[in-house]
Amino acid sequence: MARETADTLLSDIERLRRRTRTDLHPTWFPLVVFGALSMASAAVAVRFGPTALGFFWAVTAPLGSIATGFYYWRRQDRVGLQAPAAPYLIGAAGIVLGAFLTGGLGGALGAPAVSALGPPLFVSAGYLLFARLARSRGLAAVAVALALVTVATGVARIPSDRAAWTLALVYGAVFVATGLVFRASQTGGR
Amino acid sequence: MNHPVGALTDTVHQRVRLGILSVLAESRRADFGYLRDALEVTDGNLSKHLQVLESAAYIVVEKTFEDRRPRTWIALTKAGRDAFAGEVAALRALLDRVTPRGRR
Repeated sequence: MARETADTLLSDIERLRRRTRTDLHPTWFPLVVFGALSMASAAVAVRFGPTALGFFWAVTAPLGSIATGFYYWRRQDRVGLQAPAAPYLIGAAGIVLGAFLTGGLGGALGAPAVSALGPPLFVSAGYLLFARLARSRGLAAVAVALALVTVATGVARIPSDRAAWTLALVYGAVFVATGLVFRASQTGGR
Repeated sequence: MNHPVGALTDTVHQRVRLGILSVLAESRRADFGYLRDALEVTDGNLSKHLQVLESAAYIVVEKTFEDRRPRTWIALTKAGRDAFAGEVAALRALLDRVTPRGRR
């Protein structure tokens, strides 16, 4: 068999696999939803203090997850392509649980830095997992960058109340911006 | 040393059938319309290739009714996944043999 034939077949396979992954994972939607929620949470933290963040996310995180699940389900049904749901459900549950546990643990131990930095770090780790599942280098880069920003906030010893809303605002803005870029590239390529 | 061409199988080594397996390898299942559009083939052509893959037990075909409309879902089996991985590995080995990695 000619080298060109093998090369062409492998290129076709990669192109189809990439197209399928893009159709399967409209990552822009959860990024925009949770980015908007994160920016709203910054306003809540400024107005009512960082402890209000726990109540805010207890209500909005499940609602955001349900909205994302519903969007994925409707879209996959319309497109005619389905992904295994279990890894995403487990990942989402891990993010919510980890964020709440570290937030609560910081409060219980009297360590506000843990409450301020733990949840964002769990969110970054969760998005890194989602990037791995969707094999999205762009999403992985965003997750690593946000984790580094969180660590830098801790190293710079920014007061925890300020760190909480600052990180919420940064995460929110980055998620929304990334989501809109992903949406433009995903719909523009078709 | 065995030549990589020996690892290519007639059932899988065909452009449309490789395309079907490529889509299915990334998903839990895909419907007939998605495969037809992604591969840019006609209904009859796709059906023919699906039959070949189903006969080899590389895929399972499930016919359902959704909103009183027929819908055909296709999923990869373990044997199909292994065959696809073997084909891709054989193609890569063949390419490496003809063009060493450093010269590509």
